[in-house]
Amino acid sequence: MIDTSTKGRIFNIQRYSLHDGSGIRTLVFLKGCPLRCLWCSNPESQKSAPELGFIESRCVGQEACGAPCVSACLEGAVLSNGQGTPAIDRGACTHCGECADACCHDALKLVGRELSVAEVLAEVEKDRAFYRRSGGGITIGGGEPLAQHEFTAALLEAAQEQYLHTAIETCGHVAWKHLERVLRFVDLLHFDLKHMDPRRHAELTGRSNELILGNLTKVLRVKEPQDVVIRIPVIPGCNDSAENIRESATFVANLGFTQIELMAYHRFGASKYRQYGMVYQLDEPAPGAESDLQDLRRLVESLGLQEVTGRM
Amino acid sequence: MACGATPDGRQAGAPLSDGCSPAQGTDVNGPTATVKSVANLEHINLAQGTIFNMKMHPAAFETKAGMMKWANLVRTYFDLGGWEIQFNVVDADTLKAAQANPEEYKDLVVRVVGYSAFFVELDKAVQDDIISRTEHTV
Repeated sequence: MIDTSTKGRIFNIQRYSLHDGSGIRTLVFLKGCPLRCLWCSNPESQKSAPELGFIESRCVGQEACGAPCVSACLEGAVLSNGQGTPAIDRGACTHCGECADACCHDALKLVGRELSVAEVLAEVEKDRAFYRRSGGGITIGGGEPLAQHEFTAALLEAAQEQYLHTAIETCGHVAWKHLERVLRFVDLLHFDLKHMDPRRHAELTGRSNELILGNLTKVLRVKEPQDVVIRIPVIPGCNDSAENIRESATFVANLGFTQIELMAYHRFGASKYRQYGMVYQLDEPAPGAESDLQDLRRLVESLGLQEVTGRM
Repeated sequence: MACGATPDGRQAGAPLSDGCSPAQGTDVNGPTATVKSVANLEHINLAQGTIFNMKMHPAAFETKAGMMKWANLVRTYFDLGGWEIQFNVVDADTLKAAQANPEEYKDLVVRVVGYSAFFVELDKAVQDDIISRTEHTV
């Protein structure tokens, strides 16, 4: 019996998602991730706890609005900084959300709310007509869904009970027993692979890759190859060498996987770092420094894999 | 032109919503929510016809899968009882104007890749990228 009151910490539910599985989907973003990938496009996803985001372009300045955010803060963590926009002392902030409630311009927001399985599915259900037409459904991403494996398993099982197609996007850094249990309720698995070398993997993501590679060797005990896509975000200067791509593709092909996706680098999430008091670490690639993604796609196909970018 | 300021924040003389499309700045839950809202109207009572404008980004049409998903959005709109829908693809001139005068384009939403964002909140480098992309495909 699924307990639909089971709660998880969510930072976004995005309707009309087009790149997270077949058809038109709703993507549920879970907060918290064991990794700290340098290219992460959702910096607000990394910590499990709620966080305060400040969107400077929406702030009208304290002369215009009287800075209710400063007076609303119970900890003195929101301060005038002389330019008319508030500065945030993140050490003092308790993520109570009072300043966000006080702001009339949505310049402050608290990210990371607890929602139950039932509440999430009520939102997902809104686009049922679109899933029916397009072969879409629900995708769980984040952050890392398996960092809240009990909630993810309950959400996916309940979704399948309502005849929703289920997909998940995972880095695979979790105990196998939790991954195995969640996979019972997954129709389409996206499994990331960042780098084959354990030391380089740790430099790029904060963790070694042994647990991830170990899990990859077990996935096809419980899933068919056509229901799995191995995903490699191709990051210039990090993991985009032909050697690493060849080694990654050879590894997954030898295990019996058939589908791979090489995802182009982008910096669309870089502007969010400042909003959360973080710093985006990667420099823009020098002109001509980016690998030819078409060459790398041909490389992986020469090893017997199907490269599925743009085909779902 | 004759309508004064309205309580939703609209200033005097500013346009009301265009056709059945959402009023400026209210389209915040994405295309599926907008399609559902417009399809919910009793179109048969609007005998001269209805106009429903949607803005799409060219990137949505670059792959076959992307085209199919957009087509299924349109088909679902008609499944749900909609009568008319038309699409604008955002052009580079508008985006450049938004860079120069962001306060006049606060509600301009661009489809970045698989998600949407307010154009004026993106880094300049990303804005430039989106502008250059649009020029190549239009």
